Amino acid sequence: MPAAPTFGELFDPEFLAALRPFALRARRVPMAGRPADQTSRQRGGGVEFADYKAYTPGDDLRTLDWNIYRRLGRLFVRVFEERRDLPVYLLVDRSRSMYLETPPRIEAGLKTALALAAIALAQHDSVRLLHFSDDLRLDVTSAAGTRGLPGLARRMASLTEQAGTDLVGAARELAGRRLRHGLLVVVSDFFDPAGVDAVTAELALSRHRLLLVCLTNEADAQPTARPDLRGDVRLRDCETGTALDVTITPAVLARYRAAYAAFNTRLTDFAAERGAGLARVNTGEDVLEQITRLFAGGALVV
Amino acid sequence: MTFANLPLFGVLGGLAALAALLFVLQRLRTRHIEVTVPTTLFWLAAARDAPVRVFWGRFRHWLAYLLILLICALLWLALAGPEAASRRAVDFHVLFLDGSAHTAKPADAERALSALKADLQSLPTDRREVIWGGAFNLKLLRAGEDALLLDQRLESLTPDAAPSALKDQLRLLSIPGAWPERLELVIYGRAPVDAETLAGLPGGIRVTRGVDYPAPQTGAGIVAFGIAPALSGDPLRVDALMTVRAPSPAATDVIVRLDDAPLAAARVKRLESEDGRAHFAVRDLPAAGGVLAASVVDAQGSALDNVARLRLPTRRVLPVALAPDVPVLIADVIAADAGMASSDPAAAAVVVRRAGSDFGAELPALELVPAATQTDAFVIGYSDQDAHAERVLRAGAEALGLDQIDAVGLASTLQRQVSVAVEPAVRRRVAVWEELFSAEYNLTDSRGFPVFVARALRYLAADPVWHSYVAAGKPLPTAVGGAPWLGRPEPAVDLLGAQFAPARAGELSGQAPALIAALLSEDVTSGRPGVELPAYTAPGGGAAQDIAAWLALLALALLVGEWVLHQRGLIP
Repeated sequence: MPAAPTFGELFDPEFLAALRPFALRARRVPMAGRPADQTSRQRGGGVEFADYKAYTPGDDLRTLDWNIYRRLGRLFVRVFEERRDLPVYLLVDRSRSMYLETPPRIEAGLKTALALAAIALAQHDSVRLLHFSDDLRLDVTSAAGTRGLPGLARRMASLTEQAGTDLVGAARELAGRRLRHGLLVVVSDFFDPAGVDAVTAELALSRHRLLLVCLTNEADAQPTARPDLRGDVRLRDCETGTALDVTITPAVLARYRAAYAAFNTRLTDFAAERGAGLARVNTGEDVLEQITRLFAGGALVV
Repeated sequence: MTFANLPLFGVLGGLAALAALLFVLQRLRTRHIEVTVPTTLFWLAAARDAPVRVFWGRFRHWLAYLLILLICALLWLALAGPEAASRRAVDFHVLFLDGSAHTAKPADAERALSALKADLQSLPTDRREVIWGGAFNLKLLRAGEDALLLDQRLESLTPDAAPSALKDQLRLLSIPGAWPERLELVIYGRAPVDAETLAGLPGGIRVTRGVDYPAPQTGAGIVAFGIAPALSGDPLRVDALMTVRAPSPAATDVIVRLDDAPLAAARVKRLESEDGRAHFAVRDLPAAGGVLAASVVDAQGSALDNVARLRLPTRRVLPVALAPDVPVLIADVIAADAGMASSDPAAAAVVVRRAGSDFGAELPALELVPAATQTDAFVIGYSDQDAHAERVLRAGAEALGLDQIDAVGLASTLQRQVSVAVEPAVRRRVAVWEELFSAEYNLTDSRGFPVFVARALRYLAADPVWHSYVAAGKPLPTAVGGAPWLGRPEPAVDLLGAQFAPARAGELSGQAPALIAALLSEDVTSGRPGVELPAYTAPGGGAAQDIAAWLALLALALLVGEWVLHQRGLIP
């Protein structure tokens, strides 16, 4: 059984250093929260000028723009952008399918999750690690700042394989919790037995911004890449244990590819409809390269 | 179409079994290999319209089955060794490994054996056997026996100093019904075959030669070696004569030894020769039972014919006691015969007396009997030890020399029929009308009289017989001396009347003293190849192998085709 990455493998200084140029920007940040780097709609005591507004009693006299008063004879005050933190919820799939292959999907998944956490913590956002298989578990809440990253990495390295995938249930459970609005990053292969439609339907109800990190490998799209997938095979689902006898023929392969394509299309459509981010991380490729491509403009806006 | 390695029913049965086996395997191969996958979600959708095969379910892959059946059938047929019917002319092979003196040279023998072993591989075990043809024909490998046994069975066999027994083997093969009709005898060795023998073979038997020797065997050898009564007339001596065949007879010498002691070269006389061979004689050798050996030096031909040995006879002067009242003519005959001498009864081996006399009563006797008391003129009594005497006597009373007597004249003079009778007796005796010894009849004047007296006395004395030569593979010649028609069956004739021939050179068991046979084969020494035989062609080296190779190639091509189809997913 392939093993999950260790702390040493996860907490790679070079890997983390390479993430410094990247930023994670939210289109909308909740009003409340700690001051941080995320641009919010809230106007107040920031440093970035945002607009003018007519003076009303109670406004800070230090923000009066005397030049305008001289020209127009009316009092206007300068308003500034309030920068707030973005709560980032990392929802990591610990089901058996994440640990099955070589390399296991969990490896790329945790590296991606840690990378996003590192980027978020570097911009003073808060990060919470949640993980699920058949149930949802809230775990670590990191403090803002990069000092919380080693603890987060250590916790990630300690995650072990669980049973099946119940992303629908996990999403529902998460929605039921009174969490501050933020960014929900779902790190999973999305192989929920309930089907991708049920998953997207449940995620659509979430109040959070969404970033879907779909972990894939070559055999997902091209099953014949696995040498054992030929002829008459009995396919055993690693999570449910159910068996399926299949005679692999070109026709069957074509239907498989069509089913897999429909799965991907559904995820893509959902992301587009919901305004969510969708990142496909191939477990057979270097994670850093894929993250670099994801943050092609230096920032990923979700 | 026939098959070299399997019978037709075996081929057909094999094909049927293959078809059944492949059918079952085709069914059984629907065993699924279990593969664990992250999810079966997509496979469920893919397999919804493509149900898998199940054990003993509907058979859906006829193309694959027929293809693999065709491949297996082609391989099976190739294994069976198909032959075009026109090329198949032989049902059974008899491989004759010559173990005679013809193939005694180690190089020849090794070559023959190597060729036989090589050819053995290409023949089906149930349709061949191997015969060792030495002094006797010996079956080395029966049909069906594994060729691995050959070396073990050859361990104790070396070429015999004997002429080839190939003729006997061919005679056996000619027995109707005993062998398959289409049979090929392959000779491995130099054993020659006569045209006459070949002509007498049934039509289905083919004789070929498995080894092609580059040059005929030539060398020197003794081809005749015998003895005869000494020309000097000495009854206790014999003359030895020998003939040597050699590439250069004039330069060939023979060395003669008597009881391992070499004779002086001067005693070995070269005789005049007009037949291109060298003849030698050694005179007046003592007939005392010694072993006489002659040898020539030869490095080229077979070594087995370079030496010949024989046992000299044992002759003695026969002591004969004469009763005082017998006719003096008998004493004259004895005195004239150097092989006999008068003696007193105590020292005599035989006596001559009148009937009723007790002179030498315990000894075999030549008795003179009044004609009035004996019906037959000659009565020969034989003892129990002479088990076959009567048969031999009835066959020829002339052996006593009676044929040299003017029996008709005697009969007319006597006015009585002159007849010979045999009867059992306590000991040997010959009873003759005494009147025949009187001067009024012509017996004593005839030249047969001394012969009769001498032979009769030697019969009575049971003198041992001897043969002028004893050669391997040749019947013994008529015995010399004694009374060969009487007494124990002489070696030349066995109980069934068959001629006896020593199988190989060397001492003959069962004789005392043992006779010694020599090779004395003109064929061996001269290396006569006999009729030129066609060379043997192994069945595996002809069309059968070609057909099998083509079948195998075709099977290979189909196999490649199946692999391509499988790769393209056209067959499972």
